[in-house]
Parts: sequence; structure tokens; C-alpha cells
Amino acid sequence: MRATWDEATEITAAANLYTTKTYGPDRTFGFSPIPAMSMISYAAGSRFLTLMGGVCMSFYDWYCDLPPASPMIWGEQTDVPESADWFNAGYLLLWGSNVPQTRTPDAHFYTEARYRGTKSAVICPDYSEAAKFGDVWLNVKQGTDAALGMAFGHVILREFHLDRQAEYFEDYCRKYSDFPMLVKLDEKDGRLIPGRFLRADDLDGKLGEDNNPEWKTIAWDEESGGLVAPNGSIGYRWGEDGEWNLQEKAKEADTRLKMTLILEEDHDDVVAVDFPYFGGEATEAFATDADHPDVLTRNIPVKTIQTADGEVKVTTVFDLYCANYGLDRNLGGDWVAKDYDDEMPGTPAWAEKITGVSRDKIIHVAREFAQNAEKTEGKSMIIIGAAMNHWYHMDMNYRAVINMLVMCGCVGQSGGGWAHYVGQEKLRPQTGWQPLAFALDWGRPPRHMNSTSAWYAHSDQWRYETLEADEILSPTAPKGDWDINLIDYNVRAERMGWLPSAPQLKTNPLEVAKQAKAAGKDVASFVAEQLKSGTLEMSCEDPDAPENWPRNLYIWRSNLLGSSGKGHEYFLKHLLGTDHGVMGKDLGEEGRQLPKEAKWHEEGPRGKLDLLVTIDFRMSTTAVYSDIVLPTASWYEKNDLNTSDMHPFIHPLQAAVDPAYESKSDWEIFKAIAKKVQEVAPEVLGQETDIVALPLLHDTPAELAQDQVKDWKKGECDLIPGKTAPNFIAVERDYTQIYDRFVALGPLLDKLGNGGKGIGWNTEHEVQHLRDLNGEWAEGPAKGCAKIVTDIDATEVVLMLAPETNGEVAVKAWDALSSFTGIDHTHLARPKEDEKIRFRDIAVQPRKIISSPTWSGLESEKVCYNAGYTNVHELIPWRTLTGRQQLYQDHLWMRAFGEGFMSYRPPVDLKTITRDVQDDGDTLVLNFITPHQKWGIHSTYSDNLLMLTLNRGGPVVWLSENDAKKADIKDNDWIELYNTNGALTARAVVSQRIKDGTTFMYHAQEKIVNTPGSEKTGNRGGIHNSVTRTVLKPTHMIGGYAQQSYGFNYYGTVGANRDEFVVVRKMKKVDWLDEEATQKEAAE
Amino acid sequence: MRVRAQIGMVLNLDKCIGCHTCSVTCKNVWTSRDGVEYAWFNNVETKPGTGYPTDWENQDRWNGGWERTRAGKLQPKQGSKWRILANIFGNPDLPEIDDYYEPFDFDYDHLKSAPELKAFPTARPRSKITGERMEKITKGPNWEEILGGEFAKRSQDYNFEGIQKEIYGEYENTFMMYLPRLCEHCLNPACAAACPSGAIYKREEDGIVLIDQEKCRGWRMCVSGCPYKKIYYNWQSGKSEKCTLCYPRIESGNPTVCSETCVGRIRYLGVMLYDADKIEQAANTPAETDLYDAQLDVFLDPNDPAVIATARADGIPEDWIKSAQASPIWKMAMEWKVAFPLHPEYRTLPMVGYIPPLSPIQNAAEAGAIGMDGAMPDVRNLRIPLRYLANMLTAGDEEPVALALERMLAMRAYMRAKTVDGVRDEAVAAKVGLDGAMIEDMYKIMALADYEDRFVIPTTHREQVEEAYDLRGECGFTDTNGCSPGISKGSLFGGAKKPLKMPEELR
Amino acid sequence: MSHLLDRLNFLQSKELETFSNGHGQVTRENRDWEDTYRNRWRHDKVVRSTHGVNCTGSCSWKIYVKSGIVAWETQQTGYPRTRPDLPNHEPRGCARGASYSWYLYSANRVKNPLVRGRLMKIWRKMRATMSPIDAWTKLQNDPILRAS
Repeated sequence: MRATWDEATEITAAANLYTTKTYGPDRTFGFSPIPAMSMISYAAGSRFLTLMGGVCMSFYDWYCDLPPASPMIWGEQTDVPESADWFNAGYLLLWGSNVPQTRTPDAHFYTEARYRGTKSAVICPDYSEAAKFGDVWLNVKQGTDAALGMAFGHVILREFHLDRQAEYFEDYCRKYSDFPMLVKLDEKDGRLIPGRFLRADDLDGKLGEDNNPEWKTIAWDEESGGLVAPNGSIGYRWGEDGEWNLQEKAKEADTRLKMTLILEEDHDDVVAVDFPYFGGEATEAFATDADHPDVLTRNIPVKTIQTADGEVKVTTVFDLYCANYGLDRNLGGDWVAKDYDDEMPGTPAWAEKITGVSRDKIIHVAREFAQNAEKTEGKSMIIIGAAMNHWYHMDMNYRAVINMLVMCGCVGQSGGGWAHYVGQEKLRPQTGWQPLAFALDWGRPPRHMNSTSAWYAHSDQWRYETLEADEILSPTAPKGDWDINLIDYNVRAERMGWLPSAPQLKTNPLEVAKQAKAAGKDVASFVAEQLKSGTLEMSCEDPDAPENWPRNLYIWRSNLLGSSGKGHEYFLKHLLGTDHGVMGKDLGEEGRQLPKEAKWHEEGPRGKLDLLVTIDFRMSTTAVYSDIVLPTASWYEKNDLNTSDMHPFIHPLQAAVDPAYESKSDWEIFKAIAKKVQEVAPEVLGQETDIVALPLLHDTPAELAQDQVKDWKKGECDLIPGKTAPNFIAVERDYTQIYDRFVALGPLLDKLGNGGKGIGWNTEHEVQHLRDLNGEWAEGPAKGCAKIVTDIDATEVVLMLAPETNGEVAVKAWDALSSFTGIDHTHLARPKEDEKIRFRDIAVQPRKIISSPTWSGLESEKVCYNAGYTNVHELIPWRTLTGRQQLYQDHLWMRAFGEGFMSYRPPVDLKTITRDVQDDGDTLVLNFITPHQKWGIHSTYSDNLLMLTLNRGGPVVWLSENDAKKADIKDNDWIELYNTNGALTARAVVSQRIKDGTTFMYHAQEKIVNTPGSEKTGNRGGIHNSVTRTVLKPTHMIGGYAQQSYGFNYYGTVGANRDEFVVVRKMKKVDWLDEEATQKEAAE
Repeated sequence: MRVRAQIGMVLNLDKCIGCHTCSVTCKNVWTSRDGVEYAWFNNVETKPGTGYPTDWENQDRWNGGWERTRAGKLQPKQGSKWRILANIFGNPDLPEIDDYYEPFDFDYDHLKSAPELKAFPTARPRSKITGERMEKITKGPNWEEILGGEFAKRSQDYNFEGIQKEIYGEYENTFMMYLPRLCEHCLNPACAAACPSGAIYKREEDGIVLIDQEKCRGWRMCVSGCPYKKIYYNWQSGKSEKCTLCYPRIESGNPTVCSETCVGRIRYLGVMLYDADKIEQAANTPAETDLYDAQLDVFLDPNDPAVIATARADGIPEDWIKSAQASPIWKMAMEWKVAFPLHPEYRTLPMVGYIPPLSPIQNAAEAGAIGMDGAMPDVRNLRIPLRYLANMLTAGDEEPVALALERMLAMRAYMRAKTVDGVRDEAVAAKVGLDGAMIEDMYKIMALADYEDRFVIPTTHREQVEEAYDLRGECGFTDTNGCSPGISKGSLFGGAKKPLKMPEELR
Repeated sequence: MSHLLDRLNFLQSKELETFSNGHGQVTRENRDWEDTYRNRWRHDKVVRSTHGVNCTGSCSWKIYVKSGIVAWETQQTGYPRTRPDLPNHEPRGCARGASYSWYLYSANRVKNPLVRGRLMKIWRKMRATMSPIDAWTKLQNDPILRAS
């Protein structure tokens, strides 16, 4: 019902303060995605939450748009070419990306490039808008892309690296990939398997490296004829200056690294090495390859070297890599192929069986792709659709693609590379925005949480997890304690400091800080002692205990419950405690293996949240479920900033008219809440010390924390905060000054400076400019601080502090990086040193950003922005273990789960269609695919009358004509889709363009419009996520290990949901469930 | 020779991404009001499909456009003017609302104001015409989007004429294309000929076809007369409306809303000079397959001194002659011959042209054939059957369409040789009757497609025929009637529904 | 612009002259009605904004304001140019973005703060006698109230 602003903010403030006092500040969560789309509106909420000690939830990983393959290979969240660079490509492969539909404003660069002579192939299971533009359409079976990519790679290796070595490719791979790095072969049960990278630390005398020798990888040098630790590996990044670069050097000595040991004189022996093969594990919906064993042994040339631990056999990544692709190199042995028609894992003939794409087309496309790259020095590009990232084994799909690009020297070259576009993840002025958004001007560090792990735990999806570790473990896994539930892996990861936690400690951190103070100890050692003794517990070990529930949740700029919330019905059942459609039983009821690390409660809690506050301009599904809905200004009624990875411009949102009705901008809303908190706080809270648990972060020295996997809880090592566990840091808060701090630029920027991605610089000059520009507070707690009163003030903070919009800062930033690399990079920004972009400037015309080391591409008059450009052209290392594009992943867990190298892994069996749930006569079972739609951006616009008019007026689900016939479904019939996760209702669109066996429900069509009741659940039919449940992958939990270290929206668990199947049936009766609740029900 | 100038449009279907932005911006500006909810001056159809309104291309059913009588006379297909008058109260060729769709809205307010319900609330649809609850939405202006609906239904598409169509219903052989549609602003508009009130006219200065909202009496003979079904009856005002080619923008030198907002950058606007005296003869060409050439014959070469002299004598402003010389429409339709009229067999001489789309081919070896050696895939192996395109654009004559597609492929091959191999391959150009310079011009206009190259629109020269000094001073002061002496009164839109009544002059 | 128009002869004959073998005629008639559509197009200001939505668009739009009401939007076309031999960015946008202005005044707009009915009623009752923190504490400590 209608309320006043005063009432609504007062309830909110009281709830937040009560929660902080009773359970701890980290029980207040805030979820808002993609800051780039309106960065001030995002910052308003995150700044407020951070000042309170609340938790900012990630989104990119939760949406499953974060491709973990990117941080694995490049140490980079995601960096991609702007769309204009498509025009420079000579070959464009559209792989699972429906450019016209989902990159609509940019599609013309693709269609126009064809007239420049660019060739194009389109790979997608349906005849999409994109397919219309290809020279050829490869209608791949959904979920088998890695097999297709493997076959492409097989052809490229055969024709461009083995039978003939393309000079450009060899030169590129030698300098910019980990191909030359040496890998130790480990023994397991008398057989050899690929082990860790050889490191300086392994060698007697450590090659003279005393700084981080365990983080310096080793290669064979042709110049010196011996082993070298080439510059650029991550060991060079921290603790020393000037050698973290990609010059062909080891310290000062010139090097030429050997890529392969294939020649007789290079190797000491040829040995058999085991590789896992997963092709036989496919479920019945996918082609099962039962002709091959689960371990494929291939012959590899090796050298035997002396290490501190005795003799070991080593080989290059390239030699292992060729074997992994099943290529016969005249070394004998089984499971390798000379002929493309040989149905050996890796060949086009093998891929044809799995993917349904004819071998001719595979060979043709691979050849053209590589030929073009060779001729143009890397101008072959792959525009990849995030759909491929939504499979459980997404890393295999993505790594298959990235491998092709690296093999052909395309990454870091204009017109080439990996083009993965999802959400506006490119907040271009990021380093200027962070201090504002995460209140780094008042206290550090903020509380960040990876949403996937959090929602998995707090919506209790883990209680229903049927995917067991042994289903995904490699047959070649090193010995270890692998037989635990997926939630248990997550508990371990949080405990070892790999992943963040929210909440963090079962005890209120404000209380723990008081105890530490009383005990006269610093918080880190106090917490470490208490954790070891068991007096303190981490919340992750018991997500269902009431002390560990999230109590308050803010949702703004988001529609968690109508769009992105995978496992929608679990959210309703456990987090909200309302009507739900969950039809499956939990592990206890099913009698399955219970978790060993996470505490099991017989009964799953219902209704963990005390208060759900949503801020929106429209009645979304989330808004309908909320306790409080606050009306926000529309995008034509507020001032803000907006950037994208698709173009180089920074441009504004502006108030064309003042906010309509009683709405306010997000900035004003959070100001109002902050003010109310400040008013109410003195009743319960004042100045407090909070303890923030900080995981081992990427781009900080902590990324070198754990070169071995050791768990303090199991006594494998001591608990050392920031090394073997999260760090514990005291942060001062003042709940009586939340508003005063919100509207002022705090003192820490002057004191500590600013920075990002591992580099920092002094920022006093910019802070003074902001005082001059925005005015300064003359009195009060923020006396002398620059004002940030209006949303435009806030934009100026971002623009002033960011190198991308302030040339002076850009020069400082490049200079800071230069000291790491020993190469002067400041020439990249000098010409723009005097440029300072202000809000009113971009209001007149969008401006191109200034090149900065925050990103790996340049924006100049000569080249379009393209990722990896400065790595290749400025010799800045990738932020990986080897410093190169790393195609081999040697972490213990990567090897255990069979993903040291890329290979084809069929979709997993989620077991959500059970005998219990499936009704007799319902025989049509289809793979549930949820691509991005044409009539909405996620759920936004999908309730808009214009879009609904153009899209049949409500939720629809697509299926093929053949499948429709099987279930007697005609176009526009009402149908129901269900499995144990829940049910949804919609109308059918029957179309020949859909591949048999799949059903498309375009993502995020909401139940707020034209959705009848479900016959199966008796509730309103659900949303697309009513039939999904997210599943975690242990390899995404790895931390403290170079590029595999946590970063907010950078690395961590991702919410996969595409391996799901549903039962599809025609509805017998359409019930709109319009009845009013009875008084009795209402009273309940 | 009587020289006239017209703003023509070309849409490059080979670049159309089917985003429908044109439709939405047009609707927002022109038809987001009562009475025309169902009317889309611009819409985008998925082909193969039956379109909006359903089956509009079937003139056996609707009798739109013109026909050549056995006696060799050109007359509206729905009949001679006396027959039209006779049908005024019972037009047998008139589509009904269900041939378009019943416009709907949703009970959005329910989400905020509903009492406590047993189930989560949902906003259900309601008819915008009757206000009644709609149990199920069964039709929309874009029902067949990206091949929605069974092939058996979609393949009623008139353009399958003469094609063994069954195999195209198979998944592996799927093809599709988008067809954005608007008023063709024909040289020989059947709507104007059908209007009993004399309300429809073609502007002498720019060729835009309009319905005078003061004269229109809502007889709707234009609705049936237009073979493209691009005239819509406003059931609130009781008058018919249509695309105005955004003349308020064109007059100031701005492109139409649909053109400027076209994200695929497929739309071009430019001046075409034509010989008004040739219209009847061209439209009355005996063989349907000759109509395409006959229409080209009506266009006048803006660089021809004789044409220029006559144009000046006929009062065409100098800027318009210059614009005609720089017109992208002229280049595409006449110099490169890649743009075609939509259904020339309707004999309306439409002034919106279409460049046919390329499409993927099945054979892998052929798919890569665009290369520096000049090899090009055979256009007959593309997924979209040549005959299908020809049925749409040339009354079934495949040759001109084949040549256009070959020229586009030649452009790709030539440019690839230039950008990848650094070679100017004149042989590729010569094979399709062009030369390198022409291809590079095609590339500039079609690929780079700068705003100023897409839209070459001279402003109107009102000052030459009116007292501009006075007009400037009066702008906005005359009964909110803009810059005019204020003869028209009141708004023509949004008033109460007007019943059909017999107009005075015909009683 | 002239006041001449070409029409195809239907009934009346006000022609100044005919053309194309009498198939067409030129007449002089009042065309002032044309101001109707001209007025529809007119607006008071155009403001640059965009859509804060999770897509990669980040497109610049012209927002048209007429008499204080946002009427519609079309794409901006004046981006800084790329460089020779590269297409420019205009007109970035899509149909979704073009439909955004619908939300501003639609029935689906959240117009004022909303609080769940039962919570609001309890809160107002409690706040008559209690401080905000006390009220919330009592609410949380009562399992029936918390569940509502």
C-alpha cells in the first residue's frame, strides 16, 4: 500500500540498524548489477552499504556471463574489442552469438564488414538472425561446442603448426603463449600424468632467483642451451622492479625459448602420458562415444632433468597440447590420428558424430580461419555468445575457442581476437569510480561477495544438489580427499581465503572487535586464534543457522526474482518463505550423501529475510514480492554516466524532465535512507569497530599466497591470516555519520592515493580539483572534504579521478606501471595529458576515453580498442602465473577435475526429471535453452506494451515442429514446462528453425504479464528460472594462486544453468488464479 | 517530358537485422494514439510468411493495385470508378480488424492495486477496441517473427509461386529474410485513384502521397485500393491515415524517422527525377515482367543536360537537381541496378526500392569461394531461392535479381582482394559489368554508409512560393497551427469517434 | 513547397492541366491541413540521455520533451566520427530502447513508495507508542508478525 517517503525510509533504517546491532552489519546485503550502465546509481547504493558495513553482491559471475576461462588464460576478467574493430577483421566467426538480436546497435559493423570482403561463418543450433548473414551456417548440436572447437584446433595444428609451421604463428606463440614452458610429469599408479609447471624453486640453486622462485616458470632456452626463468612470470611482478615484461629475456640475458622437444636431439625419451577423456559420459540426449576409454594414453617427447627432489621428466606445454588434440607426430602410441576421417577423439570425423556438423564444413572453416589469420597476421575474430558460457562445462567451450585464437596469433591484434560481450562489464572509468562506489575514501576494504556461492547457500539450493564430485572428477586425478559435496568444496575455499564470505563470522563482528580490544590483541591474530580453537566459526560452515541468514536485502537496478535468480522457486521457498513450486526433495529426504563440511539441518529454514527493499521505476516481479518498493527516477529523469565495451565513448544519462510523481533518483534515495539511519542510529549504535574478512585477491601480492593446496583446519598448515586463510582487518565505522560521510569525499584518497589492477598513484591534485569544483564542507565531521551532494557532483568525482577521463591521471597510471615492467609506457597518454572530461562536456557530445593501464587495449587514431593489444605491442605481461596467455592450468584442482587442458565434456546430468515428478503420458523431454531475447533486455522492456505487441503479448516458448507434433502442440497453444525445480506456463511458438530436442524460452519473460496458473504446482506459472537450479564447479573456487585468485566479478563460482531438461506438455485447462485470498489466509 | 522530383527510398535487405526499431520509433511519433493502435505505418515482416495484414500480397483476394484490361486500359483492380462508388457501403475487398489484429493492453495497475490474492498477481490482456477481457491473444502485427508458426501456415506466402516449397520447411534448409514495409509513395498510386472524396494526392514538389484529413470522408476505398495495405482506417477519427514520409522532417532536410533510426543503416533517401508524362505508359506495360524496366525508363538522368534544362523550366529548384545528381537512390536503382521495386506487377510504380539479400549456402566449398581469384559462389545455390526474390521484386524475372546478387558478391571479392591481398582486381568487377571505381563507390555508399551519403535531402523551397518573411513571424501564433495563415481549425486526432455519414457533395 | 498537387482524376475536375495522357492532373487546392502532422512533430527541447539497462548498447538518445512531457525518443546521430574507411557509430540503438518512454507515464510505473499492506499497518500501530528500533525489534521477536 501507499506510504510516505518518511515512513518507508524509517522502516528500512530501523531494520538495518537492528540487524547490525543484533547479528552484524554483514547480514545486510545489496544486489545491483552492471555498474557501467548507470554508475552513479550503482554507487549510491554500494556507497551507503559499504559505509554501513553491508555486503555488495557480485553479478557478472552470478549471471554466468563471467567466463572463468578468461581469468584462467589471461588473468583478465573480460576484455574485448569494441564493435568497430569487427570491421577490421578478415574472418568473423559468430559462435553462439546472435549479433543482430543481442548486439543490435553494433550489428552493422558486422554486416558492413562483409562488403569489405570479410568472410564469415555462423555457428548456432537454430537458424537465427545471425545465421542469415553467414557465408555458411554450422548447425551444431547444443552443448557440444568444445568438440567442434577441438576439431577446428586439430586441423589448425595439423596444417599450420605440424605439417607446416606458419612462421607468424610460431613467432607469436613463442612470445605470447605458455607453449614453451616446461611441465613436470607426475607418476600416478605407475603411469605418467601432466603435473605442475617446472619452477625456479624446483631447481638446485633456483637459477639464482631468490625473489618468489616458486612463482617463476621455466623454459628451455636455445640461446644458452639451458634452463631459464624468462621475464614476465608472476614471480617477477611482486617484490622486484623492472623485469615483469615480455621481452625475450631472462633478467638481462637474451633468450629464445624452445616450443617443442620433438627433435631427436632435444629429447631424452618418448614416454606415454595419460589424458582424461570424458566423451563416453554423455547422457542419452547427447551422442555418447563409447568406443574410447576414459583415459587416453599418448606419446610425448621428454627431457630428464635434475631437481631438488631428484630426477624428473619434463616436456613443453606445446608437446602435451598437441597430444591432447589427438595429433599423430610420428611418436607412435595409440589414440592419435593422422587422418581427419579417423574417428579418434579430436578429429573432424569424431566431432561430426558428436556435433552433427559435417567434417567437410569443420575442415573448411578451420582452414579458412587460419589461412586468413596467417595472411593478415591475426585478423581472425570470434564473436562468442555467452550461451556457450552457461553450460556447466563452459570453460571447455571457451578454452576451445581461445585456443584457436592463440594458435593463430589473433589475440592482441586489431581485427582479431576474442569478442565476448555480455552486459556492460566495461566500466571504463573504473578506477575513478571505485573510491566513490565502495567508499574507499572513508574505509578499506569494502565487503564484496560472490553472489553465486551466496545465493547457492542462502536459497538452500545446495540442499538439493544431486551432482556429485565423482561425476566430474578426472580418472587421472591425483590422490586426494575428493569425495565431498559441492557445498563442501565451497566451504573449504572460503576457509582457505580463496573465496569471500557473507556473512563472514557466525558471531557479530562488532562484538568480536570488542572482545579483541578487551583482550588487547590486534583483530587478525585474535580472530585466527579463536577460529583455530573453534570459539569462532565461519558462517559458511552452517548457512542454515539463524545467525548466518542474510536479514536485509536491497535490490536496485535489478530484478533478481523476475530475471536473474537461477533456482527461482528455491529463492521463494527458503529465502522469502512464500508460495513456491519446488517439487523435488532435499538430500536428507532422498537419502543421498550429506555434506561433510557444511552443517546439515533436518529441516531447511523458510523465510530467512526480515526485509526486502526494492528500488525500481516499474512493478517487476521482484517489486511485487518486496516488503518495500521505492519509486526511482526513470532514465530520462536523472543524471548519471554510462559506458560499454562495444564503443569507446563515455556518455551521460540526463534529466530531460524532473522525476515524475514521487520518484527520486537512486542517488537521492540512498541519501534519504542514509539520513534516516543517521537520525535513528544513536538509539543503538555509534562509533564501532568492524572486522572485515578479506580473501586473497588477484592483482595484489596475496595472489602469491598458496602455491600448494593446504587446509589449516585439517592441520596441513597453520592459520596465517592473508596467507593460508582470509585476512581479518579492522575497519572503523560511525553509524551517527553515515549521511555526513555519504555526501563528502573522505580523507583516505589524499592519504592513501588511488589505483587499480595492482598499481597505485598519488591523487592529491585531483582531490583538490574536486574541492574547487564541487565546493568543500565548511564544518561538521567532513570539514574540508569535497562535497558530493548531487548526482552531478558524483559524476565529477568519477571523471576527475579516472585515468580514462583525466589525462593527467592517465600519465601517472602508465608511469606507475612502467616501474613494474621496466619499459616506459607514458607515451600512450602524453598527447592527452591536458584533457579533463567533465559531465557537461559529455552532455554536449559523448567523448572517447583516454588510454589507461586499467585496460589492455588502446583507444587511438590508429587502432580501434582491442583486448590484449598492449600485451602484444607494449610487452606488458598477462597477469597470469606464466605471464603469458596460459593454455595449461596446473593448479591441483584443475588437474583433479581433468581441466589442465581443454577437452570436450558433455553436459552434466542434473537429474531433475524424476519418476516422481514426471506424469504418465508426458513424454516430451527437451533441453531447456534460455537465450537473450529480442523484445527485452533481460526482463526490462518485456512488460512494455510496444514490445509485447511485437512479441505475441506475453511469455512464449519455442519448439521445433517435429517435437511439437509429438506432444500434439500447435502454434499458440498454452503449454507447461516442468521438472523437480518447478514449473512455468506460456504459449508455444512452433517453428522449423528450432533444432529438435531443444526448447527455447527467451530469457526473463516475467510472470507479471499474461501468465496463467500451473496445473502442476497450483501456483502462478513461473519464470524461466522456475525450472533451473544453479550448480557450482570446484575449479572456480580456486584462490591464492596467481590469476586464479579472487576478484569481485573477476573469478569465482558462476551460476551455470544450461544443462537442464524439462518435460513439455499441452495444458488441459487454463486457470488464471484470480481469486482473492480468504480472510483466514490473509491473516496468516 | 514533364520533369518532377520525388524523394525516393531504398532499403538494403542484405543489411536488415530485423530489429524493428523503425517500426517502434515510427509508432511512437505517429500512431501512438487511440484509433490507430493497430496501425503500423512502418512494419517489418519475416519472410517466408503471410505478413501484416495477413496475406496482403494476395491480390486475387484483395484486388489492390491496378490491372490492365483486355482492352489495354489501365484501371484499379477493384474496379472502375463507377464500380468503386457502387461499393461504397459494402466494399467486398476491405480487410477487417482481424486481418490485422485486435490491439490489446494489459491490466498493469493490478500489480500494485490488487487485493490480497491466492496467487501471485499477473496483468491480463484487454482489448483496446472493446475494453473487454481477452482470454487469449491470437494475433499481432509481427506474429511470424523469425519464422514463428508452422511452415504449412507461413508457406501460404504468395512469393512461393512456382517453387517446390516443401523442402524449405525442413530444418536443414531453413531460410529467412526480413521485409520492412511502408507506404511506397507510388508514381501511380492506386489509393489516390480510388478515393471518392478526392482527398488523396501526390505532392507536386516532392512526390509524397498524402490523405487530406479535412477532405477524407472515411470511405476506405483507398484501404482496399492500396495493394500494399499501407492505408489504415482510424476508427476514432473516422478517417484514413498513412505514412507521410515524415514530410515535416523531409521539408527541413531531415530523413524520415524510420530512416534516421535504422540501426542496420539499411535505408537511403534521395531525389529521383522522373518524367511524369511517362507514368501511364509505364504502368500500362503489357507484360508484367517488363514492368521493372518500364519503371526505370520513367526515371530521368539528372546529369543529362536536356533533363537539367527541362527541370529548370519546370520549376525544379537548383538544389534539387544537384541532390538528384548525388542521390544514392539513383546510383542503386539505375547505375548499379541493385535496388528493385516491391511487386512491380501491381503497376503502381512504387518509389521504395529494395536490395535483395544474400544468404548462406549449403556447400562448404562454395561458402568460402569469395576470394581474390574472383571466385564467387553461384547465386543459385544460396539458401533463399532466386525465384522467391524474383516473385517479390521483379514479377518473377530472375535475371535482374541474379545480376544484383552477383554484383554484391563481386564487391566482396574485389574488396577482399584489395584489403587482404593489396590487389585491385578489375577482372572481378568486369565479370559483372562494373569497374573498380564503381565498386569502390558501391563500397563507400553501402558499407561505410555515412549519414550524409545515406540521406541526400534538399530542403523545401517554401520561400519561393510564399511570403517567407510573414511566415517566419507568424510561426506558432495561429491557433497552434504552426507556420500557416491558420485556415485549418482544431485537431483532427483524438476526438470522439465519428460515425460514418454521407458526405454532402455526394448526396 | 508549392500549393500545387498532382492527383489522379476521380470525380471532380479542378485541374490546371493534365499530364501522362490525361492519367494525371495538376490542381491548386488549399493544403493548410498539412500543418496537422507538422504540429505533431514539433517539440520544445531535446535532451541527450540513454538507458541504464544491462545490455552492451550504451547508446546515446535524443529525448523529446513537449510541454513538460517526454513524448518519444530517437537515436542521437552526432557521435564523434571514427576515421576514414571505417563506418561510424550512428545511429546506435534498438527497438527496446526506442520503446522506453512508454514506462514514464504507464500504469506499470511505481509512482510513490509502497509498503506491504500488513507491514505498514503494524508499523503505524507500533510507532504510535514505540521508537523505530523498538518497533522493529518487537516485530522480529514475534514469530507471527515476522512471518507476515
